[in-house]
Amino acid sequence: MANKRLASFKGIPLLLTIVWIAGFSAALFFLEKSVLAFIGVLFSIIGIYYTNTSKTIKLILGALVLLVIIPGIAGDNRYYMEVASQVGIYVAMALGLNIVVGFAGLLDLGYVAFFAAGAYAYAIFATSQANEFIPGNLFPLSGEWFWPFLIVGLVVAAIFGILLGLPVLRVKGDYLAIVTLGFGEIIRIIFNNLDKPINITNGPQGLTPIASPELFGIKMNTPFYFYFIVLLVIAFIVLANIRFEHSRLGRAWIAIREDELAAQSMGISLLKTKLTAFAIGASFAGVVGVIFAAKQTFVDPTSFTLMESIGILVMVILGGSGSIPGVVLGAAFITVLQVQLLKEFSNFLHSLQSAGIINLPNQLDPSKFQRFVFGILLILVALYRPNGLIPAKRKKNDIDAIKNSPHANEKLGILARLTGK
Amino acid sequence: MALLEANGLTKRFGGLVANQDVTVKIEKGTITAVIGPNGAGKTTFFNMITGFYEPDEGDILLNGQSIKGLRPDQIAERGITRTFQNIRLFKEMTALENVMVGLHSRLSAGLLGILFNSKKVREEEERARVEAYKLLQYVGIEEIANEAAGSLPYGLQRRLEIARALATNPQIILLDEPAAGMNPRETVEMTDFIRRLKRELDLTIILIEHDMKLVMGLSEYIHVLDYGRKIAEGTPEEIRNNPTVIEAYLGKSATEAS
Repeated sequence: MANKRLASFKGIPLLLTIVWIAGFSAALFFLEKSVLAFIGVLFSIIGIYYTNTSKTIKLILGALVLLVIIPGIAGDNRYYMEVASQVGIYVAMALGLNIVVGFAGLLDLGYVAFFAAGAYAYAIFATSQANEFIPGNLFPLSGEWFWPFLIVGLVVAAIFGILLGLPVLRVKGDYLAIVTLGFGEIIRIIFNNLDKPINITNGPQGLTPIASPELFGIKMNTPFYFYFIVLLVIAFIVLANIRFEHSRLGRAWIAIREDELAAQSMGISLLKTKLTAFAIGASFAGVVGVIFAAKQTFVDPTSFTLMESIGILVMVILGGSGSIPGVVLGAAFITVLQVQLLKEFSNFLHSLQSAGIINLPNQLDPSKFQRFVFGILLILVALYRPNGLIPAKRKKNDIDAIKNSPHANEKLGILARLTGK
Repeated sequence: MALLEANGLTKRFGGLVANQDVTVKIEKGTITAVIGPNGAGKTTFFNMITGFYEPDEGDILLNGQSIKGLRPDQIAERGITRTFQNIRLFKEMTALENVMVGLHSRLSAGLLGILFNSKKVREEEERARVEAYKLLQYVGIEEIANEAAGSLPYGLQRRLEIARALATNPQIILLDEPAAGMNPRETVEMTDFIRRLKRELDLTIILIEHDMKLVMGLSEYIHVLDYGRKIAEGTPEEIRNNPTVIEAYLGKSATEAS
């Protein structure tokens, strides 16, 4: 019954989406403090995704919201831009992990290690830290180096991914989860202790001040700029995800997830294919790590704990493992919940308290219940949407296009042997 | 020279000897059956040929070259493919995509080509879709091309698994109980279908099967395993009248009674 209703659901009418966007944009414009209005605008992206219209219009609407409306209306509000860029950072990370967990089915609990690798790659050279082990007083590098370091972070994390993957990917399933968990912690502890004998990471004191990105002499040190940098990176990562998903490589990943034995007998090399997934997922985390380091201007090992890895994994699973829109939604939802909703709710209750309406003991402060809310959410999703908020779905191929393909009359593969029989 | 030679294959699992000194020669373009009671080591034999198990002793030659110690994916690339006793499809993928996975080692798209969606990759993908669709047509299930493989009825899943195996462009295809769980009419259809594979595609076919009617009607040569050893080989006629085989299947008293 429910399925039938879903099948006949053609999407939200275009008009409704536009009204939604306009309404919340106006609300955000006039009531600048309204968190709800901001969330309304942010999540209009999902509305656009489900709108019943052509791809081009959806893209234009999405670009309008992300590039014009949000920075236009909320651009001078530091807090909103900070939230938006944080959402972006987690969306990008979750999309990277989606390749490893969602596509290739490799449960990785040490994902944050690659994020750390990227962050430290930039942090070490964009502070005076690198002078400790490279002579010549060349550091810190100026903010212009941020851009090439996006690539450096990507490469460093990919190398980490391969080095970690080589031993780790020999085990499967639950064992893989445990081993990656261990390796994730090892990396964090190494960063924590690599201040002696040679001081590379400055240990638990962390590294600061990390140079902000610079472009054409503009110092990009506010959330407003980071918002755009993150958008750029997300655009790249989403595009990569989409391209991979329906490619030779993506099919190999999913084949391995579904059945390793069958995948092998189709000529798919397990180690090579898994390593590629690991390296690509890691490299995305590396890029995001560089941005994170530049945005925070400070990194220390406490930002890269197991809880972070689990948080990102929750985003992927809650949104829909293997589903690109699902993972974006999951990451956005949890980040907003984490940094905004619970805090706002706390503030609201505090204001009630100071007005003398309720008496709230400090222990019941909602912002302290983050993990609890996480848990409840996961249980609810497991019960009612076991495949995530937006479950993964394989694209249907256009059979008519296949029949009318210019290659339709070529002799291909084994069927070439049919000639004359 | 035989296309495939297994010389003295032995495989032990702890104290259990699953295959002992099994020697089998397969000529090109034949249909060979491997039969035997439950637990005789037939699937172990298949798993050694396809690289899932490495033999403890003995050697496997394909066209005179040893393929022992190669990984399953390398053996698949060399032209030996298989289906599984308990169908192993990629359930979440569509039927068409399942066949496209079979094309994997014959496609060349690399990381950067995919990322930048190069013309070469786009063309290769289109060719792959066409070929996969034609293979579905060949096995007669093209109308379910866009269905998720896991949702298909049993008989179609069997056919899809064969289409997927054909996509690797094999010389030899190993079918592990292709007619298991089928009714008599479906079994006859499957028999015709396997015969057609051999005739039209020049395939060499090795199959494990319990359905004696299918085995006797289809295969040109039969190897019989019992307790991990090969106890007989020959044409269906020879095997039917072989007292050792009858004894293995029916017990000692059966031979004495006859």
